[in-house]
Amino acid sequence: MLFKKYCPFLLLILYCSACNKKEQRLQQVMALQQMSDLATVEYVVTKIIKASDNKTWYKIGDRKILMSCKATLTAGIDLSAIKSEQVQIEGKNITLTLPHSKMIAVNIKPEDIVEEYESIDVLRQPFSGEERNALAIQAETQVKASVAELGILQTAETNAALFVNSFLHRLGYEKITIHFDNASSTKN
Amino acid sequence: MRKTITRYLWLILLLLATVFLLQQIKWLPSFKDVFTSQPLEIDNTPLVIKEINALAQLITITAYNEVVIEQTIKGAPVFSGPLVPSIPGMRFPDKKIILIGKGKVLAGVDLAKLSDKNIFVKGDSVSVSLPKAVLLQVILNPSDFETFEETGVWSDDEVRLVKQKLKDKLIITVLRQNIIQKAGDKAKLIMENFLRDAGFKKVTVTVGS
Repeated sequence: MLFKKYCPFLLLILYCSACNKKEQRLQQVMALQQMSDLATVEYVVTKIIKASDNKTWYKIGDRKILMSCKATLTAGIDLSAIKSEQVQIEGKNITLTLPHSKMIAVNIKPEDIVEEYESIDVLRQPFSGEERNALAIQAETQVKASVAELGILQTAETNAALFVNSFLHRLGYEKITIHFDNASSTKN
Repeated sequence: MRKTITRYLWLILLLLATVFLLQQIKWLPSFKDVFTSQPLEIDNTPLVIKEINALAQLITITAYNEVVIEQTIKGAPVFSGPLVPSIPGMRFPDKKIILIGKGKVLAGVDLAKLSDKNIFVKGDSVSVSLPKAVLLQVILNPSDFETFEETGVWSDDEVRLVKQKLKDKLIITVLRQNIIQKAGDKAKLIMENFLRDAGFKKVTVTVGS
């Protein structure tokens, strides 16, 4: 009687436990990739990596670490996105529409991550290389997430316009108008 | 009596099943989580902008590669002081680290080096002499490293040296793929297309070697 009463419930539990999602892993292919990026700005930023390992209840004693890291962020525009119809020429006047800027690279060199301070209690193990790297990965994620707040993309567009303007001026154009989609800047 | 025991057994089973179900739908932590070490998380510290540099680098090739490096440091003698003679064979254990690095190398030409003497315009003809292609950036971020094996205590300086060696190995590997030549060729092609789009009929672009 009781078995019949609880049987659907037990079956539901069995069904839930059997529903393990399997993740599909894509095969990475490493090769040479052709690009057409014009890097126009580089931001050098620093960050302090601070962590305290005292949250596991059964580990007696604390571990603390302080590292500093320097990241180089590069942004620019993709020149391959400029199509011939985006260039209008009238005598010595040229109007060019450039694509919006994008992040090209975030570079945190191994030599730019330096341990500044480490405190290990007697009953704890020192930080391993892998653990220090895991902390640096978190810092890398935070740097990548903060890119929008730095204003690097706006600076990249300004510099791209300046460079293209100067280059076209050298090619003999007198009036150069550069657009970024809706926004535009005119340089004479 | 037997009926009572059966009823209690069913109640216990039902209770266990409920706990199991709640754990499956993440409403209750699993038992093993209680004894799992808490992940080490860093504080969200601010970014400080140190420099802003204007660039004009035409990046034409990105080479992705994976390299492995193994480093072993022999253990020091147990008695190495001047007063106590060292005993042959009595050493601290060796320490070993094997790192895998998946990095990328950006190559292209630095257009900031272009000067007026590198550009020659006459009517609808243009001649541009680009600087030679170079490696512009070698990117091996922390997330690009994997520690395959680590035995013994490795200091921060020691690991950094190993990572720098791995970076050098990545550069050597990538250079063998003739990346500089390919970057120069691609830069030439991009510049030719750009100059044609800019209205020039006869375009000559050379890349420094």
